[in-house]
Amino acid sequence: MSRVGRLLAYGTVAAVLGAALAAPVLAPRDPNALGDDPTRDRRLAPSVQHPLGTDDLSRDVYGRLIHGTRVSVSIALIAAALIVAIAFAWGTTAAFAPAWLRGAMMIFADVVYSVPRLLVVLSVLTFTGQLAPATLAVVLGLAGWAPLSRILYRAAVAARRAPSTESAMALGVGRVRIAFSHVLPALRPHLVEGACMAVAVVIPLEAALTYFGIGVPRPTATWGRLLDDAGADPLGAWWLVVFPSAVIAATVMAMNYLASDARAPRLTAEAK
Amino acid sequence: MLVALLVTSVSFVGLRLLPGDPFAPSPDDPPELAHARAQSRVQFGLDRPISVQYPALLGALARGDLGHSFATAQPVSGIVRSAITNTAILVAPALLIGLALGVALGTWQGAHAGSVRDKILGGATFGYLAVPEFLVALILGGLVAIRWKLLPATGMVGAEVATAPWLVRLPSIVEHAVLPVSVLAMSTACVVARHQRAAVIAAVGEGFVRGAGARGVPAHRILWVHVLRRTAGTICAMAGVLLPALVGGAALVERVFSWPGAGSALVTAVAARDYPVVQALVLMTAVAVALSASLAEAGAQRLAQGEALV
Repeated sequence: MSRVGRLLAYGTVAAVLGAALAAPVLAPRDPNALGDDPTRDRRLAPSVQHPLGTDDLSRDVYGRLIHGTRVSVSIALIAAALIVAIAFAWGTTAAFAPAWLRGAMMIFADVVYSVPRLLVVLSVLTFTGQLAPATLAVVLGLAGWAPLSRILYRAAVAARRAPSTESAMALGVGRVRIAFSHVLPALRPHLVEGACMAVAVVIPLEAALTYFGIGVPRPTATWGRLLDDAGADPLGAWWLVVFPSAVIAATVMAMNYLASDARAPRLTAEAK
Repeated sequence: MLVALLVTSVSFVGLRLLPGDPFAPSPDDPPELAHARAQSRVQFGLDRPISVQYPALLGALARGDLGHSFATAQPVSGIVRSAITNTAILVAPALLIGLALGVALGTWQGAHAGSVRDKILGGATFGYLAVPEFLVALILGGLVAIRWKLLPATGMVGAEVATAPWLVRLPSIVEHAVLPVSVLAMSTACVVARHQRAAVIAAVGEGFVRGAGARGVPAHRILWVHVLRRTAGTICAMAGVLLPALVGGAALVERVFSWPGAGSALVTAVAARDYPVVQALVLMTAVAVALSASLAEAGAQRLAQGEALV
């Protein structure tokens, strides 16, 4: 992995997190406030006063993007945390469970995987109506843990069968210590990778669900809502599409990059 | 079989646990309507406790009876069959085209790993995967169908041939399918290309490739015959892994292009609290995906065995 790539990825993550944390400072105006003259201020192209232009309802796109970052990033982080936590618990429990239970747990994970996650989310969401961002995050998290649990399960089984672990067990090292000093370090790259991938998957999902009117309700600004605000003629006002898409794409690219970075073997750390 | 049972159980319990009842009486109903609602509840068996409803459902499923729609009282099997067929019309070509394109790209990239063109292609697939699929669909639809009017923007078949026999409708269906299929195939191709590139790089370093080179087998033959056969198992397994994501992505792309597939049908049914249709759609999609995935898995294992014999 090149140094420039890593710098860009970390820079993007820092900028997005910074915008999410400092949203009230960076954009003090209410993101849902209309312009001074709603008819005159509709669909203004980017200018000094509105750096990213205004939308159909004369709202400032810059302010909505900054505040939308806060909502979208929170949803992604909550969902990713849930995905990693469930996948970790499920995968490691299965790896250390008796053989019959292990098989059953992995079959269950395969079943969850084989139902397209979007169908699950879609049916749950439309049944309950529109959801608060936090609830949406939980649904997205509950629907997405299966593939990572399988990866963690394989890694945990491999770590348990590694010669070093077996000899430690033969020497009478306790179970807790085995878990923390032999299995957990082997899982760490997979956990980092899984967390990054989870964020990279949840962000476009939230955008899509909100865009189709079944995610976060109006008028709350999220990245998906901003794309929806672009309206029926998205090619007519480029700034309404380009800025939110660019932010989504940059974030997903950074997370994918960090994920493949975590996957790559760290020879330097071993050599030291 | 086991998968089907588990999916039914989960979707049944999940749907019944959610608040809301399709025939819940509303306080401002006139008496006739309240009576009709109560009658429908009895007709569809919703007045009985869940412990009775669930075995009844399983029994009906075992007989191949998916029940009737709450909303339209039509048999569910018809609704589900056409929805899933329409989704398959998008997903199957997308998977095949995506695999072929991705394998070709990835193999070429793997053989030229580190070159400028490899890096450009790598950057392009990486960047493409970061853009949400529905956005690509929207922009592509907006340009090709709405601005340039090259292809129809929505629907599955032109109104002028909607009732014609299917052979007559076919050209119109193909015309409507071009945009959604290309969107789905593109993202599949990008994922496949990235994996295939890595697999080819790994295979090129192996002894049998250098052996073939030493025997004087031409380089392009080594690449497209020996190396490709080596990676065939991985490609086959990948098809199974990609399928759930592809069907999920199809649901969104269907909505952009108003394609009457499983995604659109699900949204309609869910909005109407049409339990039998939702349940059947989720069940049948899951079973179809699980079956195709295990088929791909079996194929991958066979290919791996064949390799061991050679």
